[in-house]
Amino acid sequence: MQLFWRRLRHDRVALSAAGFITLLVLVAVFAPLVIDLVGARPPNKQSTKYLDSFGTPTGPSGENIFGVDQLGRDVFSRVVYGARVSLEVAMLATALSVALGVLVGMVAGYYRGWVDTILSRFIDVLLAFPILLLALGIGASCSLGNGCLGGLLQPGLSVVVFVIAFVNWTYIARIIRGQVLSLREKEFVEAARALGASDRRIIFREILPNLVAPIIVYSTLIIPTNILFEAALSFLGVGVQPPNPSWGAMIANATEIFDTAWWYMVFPGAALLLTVLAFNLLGDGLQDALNPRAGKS
Amino acid sequence: MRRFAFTVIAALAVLALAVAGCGSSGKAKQGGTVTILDTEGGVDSLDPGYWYYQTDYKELGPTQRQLYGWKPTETKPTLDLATALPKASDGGKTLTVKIQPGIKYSAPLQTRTVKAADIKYAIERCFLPQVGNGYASLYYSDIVGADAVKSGKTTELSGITTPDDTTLVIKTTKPAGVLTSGGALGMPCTVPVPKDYAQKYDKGKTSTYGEHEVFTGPYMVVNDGKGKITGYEAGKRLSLVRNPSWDKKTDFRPAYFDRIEVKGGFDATVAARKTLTGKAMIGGDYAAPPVAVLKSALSSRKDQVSIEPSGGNRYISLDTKVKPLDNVNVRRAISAAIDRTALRQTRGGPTLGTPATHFIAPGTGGFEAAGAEKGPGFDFTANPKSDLAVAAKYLKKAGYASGKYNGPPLLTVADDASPAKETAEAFQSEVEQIGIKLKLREVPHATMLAKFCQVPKAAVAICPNLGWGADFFAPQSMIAPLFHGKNIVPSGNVNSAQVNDPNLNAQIDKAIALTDPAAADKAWGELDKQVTDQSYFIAWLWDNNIGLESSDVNGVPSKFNSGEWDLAFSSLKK
Repeated sequence: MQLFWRRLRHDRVALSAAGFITLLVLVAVFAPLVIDLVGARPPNKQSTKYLDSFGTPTGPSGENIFGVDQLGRDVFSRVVYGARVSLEVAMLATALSVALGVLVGMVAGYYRGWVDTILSRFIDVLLAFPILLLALGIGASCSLGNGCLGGLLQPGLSVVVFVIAFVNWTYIARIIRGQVLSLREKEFVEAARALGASDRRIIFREILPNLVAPIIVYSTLIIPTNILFEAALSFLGVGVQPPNPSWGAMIANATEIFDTAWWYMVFPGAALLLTVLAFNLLGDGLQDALNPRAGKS
Repeated sequence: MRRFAFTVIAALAVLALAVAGCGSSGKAKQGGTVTILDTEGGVDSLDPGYWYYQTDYKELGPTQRQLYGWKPTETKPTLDLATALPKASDGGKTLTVKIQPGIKYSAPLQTRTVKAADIKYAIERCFLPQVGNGYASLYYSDIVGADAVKSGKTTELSGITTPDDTTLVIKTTKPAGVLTSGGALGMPCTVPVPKDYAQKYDKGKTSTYGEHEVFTGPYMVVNDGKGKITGYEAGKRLSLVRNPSWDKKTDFRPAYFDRIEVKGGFDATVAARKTLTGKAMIGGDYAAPPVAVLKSALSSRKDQVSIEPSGGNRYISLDTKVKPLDNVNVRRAISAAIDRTALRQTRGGPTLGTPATHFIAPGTGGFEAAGAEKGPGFDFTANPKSDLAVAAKYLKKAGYASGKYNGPPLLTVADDASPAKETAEAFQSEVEQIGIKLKLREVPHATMLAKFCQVPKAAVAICPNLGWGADFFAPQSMIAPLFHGKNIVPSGNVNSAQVNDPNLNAQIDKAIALTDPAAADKAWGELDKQVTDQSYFIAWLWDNNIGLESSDVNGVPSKFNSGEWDLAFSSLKK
């Protein structure tokens, strides 16, 4: 652990990224306070006052520092609240896909044989699907009317989280399975088995703690992918439902008026870019710090 | 002096009428090719039995002739194939129409003339499911034998007879104002279709007559002369050339262009900009160009923009079978809460139209009787902005003591494309002020109609992105299809509020039978007041059609076709 901190402390890029993410999380959590401090209007508050006679939005000004969208809503507020959506989806979907992926990966790797064959082939089948199309299909069918699975999945955040988790757990499962195949042959596992420990105990008490490092690293790397995935689904119209702000949906709406309202695309676009970049840099930093064999030139 | 002044005024009036009737004939150049850039897929079908939408009328209308046509600036039908307006007898239940002799078809029937029997067959085939006509049931149901044709028992309308080649006799079960006035006979269902030639194409699940069509108008779709259309690829191109069988002396349309080329698949911004900056181009299948283009065109190329009332409206439909919208006071509260000017801003602001106070749009009969622009005077439609106090009053009347709705959210299905999407989101924010939360689902336009808003079983509470336009300026076409209970059908249902009030149905039936135009307008205006009072639909905009043209084009907008360019009257500049 000390080695991990020492390595991470010296990685300024990763620390800056961690600082940015911390700030983003704080902004997202205290979003109402932040927009109050800035004097911005709530994210869904519309006003024709900020549109010209043709309904064209006006740009950055003292009243709306990031300008307004086609409905006269404050883009700054929507970017701030959009961070909530992005982080919420990314965290929940990552947690779900990691939980499922780790469980399946551990079971497949530990038991091997027919259990491994069935689970691995199932993963192969899922991986063979064009992921975005699959996600679009599920998203679209669940975004109509009263949702799907008998109303269990309501259009909006829950569909997006489900879709992302459903298509992403397979990557984690594969990686964990590989790690477990190696760990299950280690002496400490042999020793636990000799002491009469049950399979469940070996999996969760002996093997799982040794998987923490790869889980952290891969989770950090999956988060930005999931943020982009959410943005892509919202961009394609099957993500977060209106009027809730989402960076992807904002970018999609901005494409039609980019030549007259550049700010509507630039600010959510920049927020998305910086967030994804920060998570990627932090993930790289964590990987370097957690992997003792890694060396920096 | 008075006499002199009158003579001068009369002469000017005649001149003005002549110019209006013939478009900008003084500056018109005979010949040339005009190009149209389409965005949405262009025409729906080549078959005149199917045409019902603006693009069909605009791009294919000049290829055919009907019993009655429409001069661009007039709201009454003009004689086309017919030699006079329908002659009514038997208390208005028998109509006799004489047609011009010697009107010829294009190849391969170039030696054949149009006969009254061809028009009879044209009307009959409009009832065939394989033709897919959208209005025959609305306007021709009172023809004797229509019920038997609709039920599939027979394909021949016993109520239409042709004593000779130039006489068409139509018998109806009761007087029908839309037929007596000639209005409904100025629809493409009266484009002659020779039965012996077309019948073989009218078999099967979908008629293929459009692919083998013969033409009577000044233009024809490029074809091989043997009955096969070669100048059309759906969504990609449509080529019209002069029809050699057409005789200019027999038609009221000047038809200046030699050729009309339609190209599809363009982005709206690209199409609009190319039209404005290019040569010999005219706006395509978009009701209004993107706002940015419109804005710049109005500042620097104002003379290339035409703004015409479309004769139609935009409205929000409230399903009366879904709670709490079964309560008229909740519906009135919603009407009071919406900000019509803010909704208009989502479509491009005041250039795009006038906030509506009732359903029938300006330029259509019954508009004045319904209260004209000021409206019927209801407090929930009087203010074009949100009137939350009035909304609260009605919600209290509906049993919501706080003046705010506190029930579950209402399923609302909207279009997912701009500007309709923004309209729906603006509406969502407006009704939230009175406590109404929406489960807003945005889907493609076609899905919105085919799976939700036109399917009663889908139980969609609110459809905020609907619009309706009058056919042939008849107020009947604005009211009867949408509010008569008999029009509630499992799919393709335009009575999306599911209104089925026996009293209203009876009044609509009575108004349909009125043959005196003034009396009919008054009756439909009164019905408009009633449906506005009930707030089944909330009309919020009487919209304009925005047409674009290149600087060397004399575009002539057509009132009949919602302000779209009339290609048979437009021309290149001299």
